[in-house]
Amino acid sequence: MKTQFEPILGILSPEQFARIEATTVLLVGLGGLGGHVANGLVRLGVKRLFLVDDDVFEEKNLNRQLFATHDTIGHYKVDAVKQALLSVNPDAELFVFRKRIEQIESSVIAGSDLIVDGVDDIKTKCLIEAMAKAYGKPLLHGAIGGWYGQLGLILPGADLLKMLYGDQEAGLEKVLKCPTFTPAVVANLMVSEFVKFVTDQKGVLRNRILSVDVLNHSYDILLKGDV
Amino acid sequence: MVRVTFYNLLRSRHNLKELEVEASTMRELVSAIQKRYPQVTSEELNQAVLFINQKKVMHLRRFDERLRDGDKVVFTNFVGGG
Repeated sequence: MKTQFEPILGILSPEQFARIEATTVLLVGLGGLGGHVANGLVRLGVKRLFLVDDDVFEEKNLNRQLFATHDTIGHYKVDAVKQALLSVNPDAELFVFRKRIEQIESSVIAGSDLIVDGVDDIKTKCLIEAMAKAYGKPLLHGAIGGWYGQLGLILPGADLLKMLYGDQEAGLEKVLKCPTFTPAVVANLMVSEFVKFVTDQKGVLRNRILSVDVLNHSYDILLKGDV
Repeated sequence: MVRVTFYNLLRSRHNLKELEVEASTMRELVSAIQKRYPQVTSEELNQAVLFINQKKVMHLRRFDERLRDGDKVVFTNFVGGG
């Protein structure tokens, strides 16, 4: 085990860490949430990641997106994230796709163990949930708007996002926008749920949607699917 | 009695947290909330998403939806940004 990953042994066994390291993650969306999730997963020790995003960094991303800097503006997000995270772990296997999720080859989806929803639009979130269901993959969902966020670990067939969003196209983010801190909070909660799920810990948000309100400090389960 | 909890925007804007009301339909519930808290607008309530007993999600104005004694209803708003 590389020295850089050793602090995790304070809370995990070497066997549990080996499971994390061996999990292949398909991360869709490298904006506010996705950038922080990618950072967390690589620093945690996840070795193999498929990174999907067809966007380039823009000035408006600087407020919250971890890898948006004046140096990366105009660069594809997947390329900038890969470059930065290879300097964190040069042995990481980061496969980048400058595409939308709809254009991703089925072998990539089939070859992942878990899908992360880091996208910023509801229609695509629901599409990713349907895709995860079709391929039998667990989905780690996150979303934010203003002071508020939500996350959960959705097993294939639970259809929690379909229930939650219905036919709506936008939530509070349309008005409240995405501030600096909420994506980082929710993204890191997603990373901790990833650890709990992969290592079979108690308390994982399995088929649960947790509401996060950093303004009022309220963390509540909104929705429970069948476990 | 139906226990109503407010999260997110409604809690922040109106300092609302929890209340218990007698209501057998959603229409009665909304009316009871507005009677007690006239500052809460119909538009705000209509824009909210409702969770009933952490199992059922309601989006639109299904005012005739039946409620049962002991139901827990959450008014909140979902988010979809990243």
